Amino acid sequence: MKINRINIQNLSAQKGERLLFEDIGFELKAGQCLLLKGPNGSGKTTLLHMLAGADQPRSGDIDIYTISSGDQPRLDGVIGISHFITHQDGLKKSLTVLENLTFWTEYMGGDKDRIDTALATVGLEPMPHILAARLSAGQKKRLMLARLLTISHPLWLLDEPSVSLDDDGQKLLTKLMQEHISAGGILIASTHLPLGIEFDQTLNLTGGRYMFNDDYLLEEENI
Amino acid sequence: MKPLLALLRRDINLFFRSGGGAGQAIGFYLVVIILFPFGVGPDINLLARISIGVLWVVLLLAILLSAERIFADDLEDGSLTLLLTAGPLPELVILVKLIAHWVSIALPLLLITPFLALMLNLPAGGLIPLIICMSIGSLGLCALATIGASILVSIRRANQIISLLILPLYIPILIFGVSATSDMTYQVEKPYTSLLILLGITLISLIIAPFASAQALKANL
Repeated sequence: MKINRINIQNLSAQKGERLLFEDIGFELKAGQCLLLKGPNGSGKTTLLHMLAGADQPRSGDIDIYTISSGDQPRLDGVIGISHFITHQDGLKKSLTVLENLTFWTEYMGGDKDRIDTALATVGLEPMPHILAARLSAGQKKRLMLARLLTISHPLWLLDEPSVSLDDDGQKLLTKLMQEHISAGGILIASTHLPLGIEFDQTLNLTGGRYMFNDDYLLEEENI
Repeated sequence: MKPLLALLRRDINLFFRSGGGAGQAIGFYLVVIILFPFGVGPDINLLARISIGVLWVVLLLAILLSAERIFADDLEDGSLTLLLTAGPLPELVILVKLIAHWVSIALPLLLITPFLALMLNLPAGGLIPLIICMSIGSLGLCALATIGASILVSIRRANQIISLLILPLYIPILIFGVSATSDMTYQVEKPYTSLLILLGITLISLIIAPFASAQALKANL
């Protein structure tokens, strides 16, 4: 599947009493990438969660236009089109490297023939039968990156992807991101460290504010 | 279909490999049933009379005390987010996890039940009815446990609270499970009435559980 463009309008997020961001919007076309910036707690991860379909916005729309959906936004929304890489690795400690990768590849509809090359690319080919519990933080990150290779999803959502990677790992990440973009994929990344690629757009989340009773009263009046 | 089969394989694999799931439930079931005759004393007739009820109660507890594991591990390492957003319908994902839970917790318990039934002097001819009724009832219990586990997914070590939360829901399964087993064992008139009700409750639970859990998980993610 290929995404033509992603359109985000008036998106707001709320966590408890706190309004993380309000009325943000952007549009990305195939082959473009966006950098998310902002202080801790400004909602970068929440925004990525929403784009992955794991969190519901307080208001606003996320519209995905694919080739098959034409002028209409995709009916399934963001489900099943993205890779979401966060500090939560989704790896099972009691399964081996190979079993972990094979499971996610099968589950996300990837190509099992690519597993060997993917492991070689991320530098884990000497240890396919090691339990994931034995991997270092950097090796776990590399295993997550292998998922990007076995499953072709058009949208990559990367939350601080370079954390715990060594120099070689960061170069590998840069290379993977460049290849993804030049193949017409879309990339949205949040980071505090340089990732080595030129971003087309930058979105600054300035940090949210607490909601007070007045806000709720205003809302009720509007309804 | 292929993603769901992969998930079923992984979940069953995980349950047996990490030991904490299946091992804990089997250990609990084994210890309680073995201790019971010692506590009650050597009255064979008394044991025979209470055996069906005891086996049922312990099976029910063993299943409920492992309920937390259905979602907790997947939530902790972020797998749950990926599982629910990767494409397959959340309701089907939950149904698969429910079945995996049954295969890895209830099935081993059912397999050791014939040996433990000897310890409790289960009446002659009671074993086959017991296994049939327990197989059906345990599936219903797993479904209810799934609902409880999804509602309390964000609470750590929630096993006891889950049991408390769905207490009113699993009492009917216990009542009709025990009465279906005794009716068939003692060959009363119309021995299958309770069995049909048990089957009904189980089917309803199985249908409701995926939808209820999907909603609960969405609210909790």
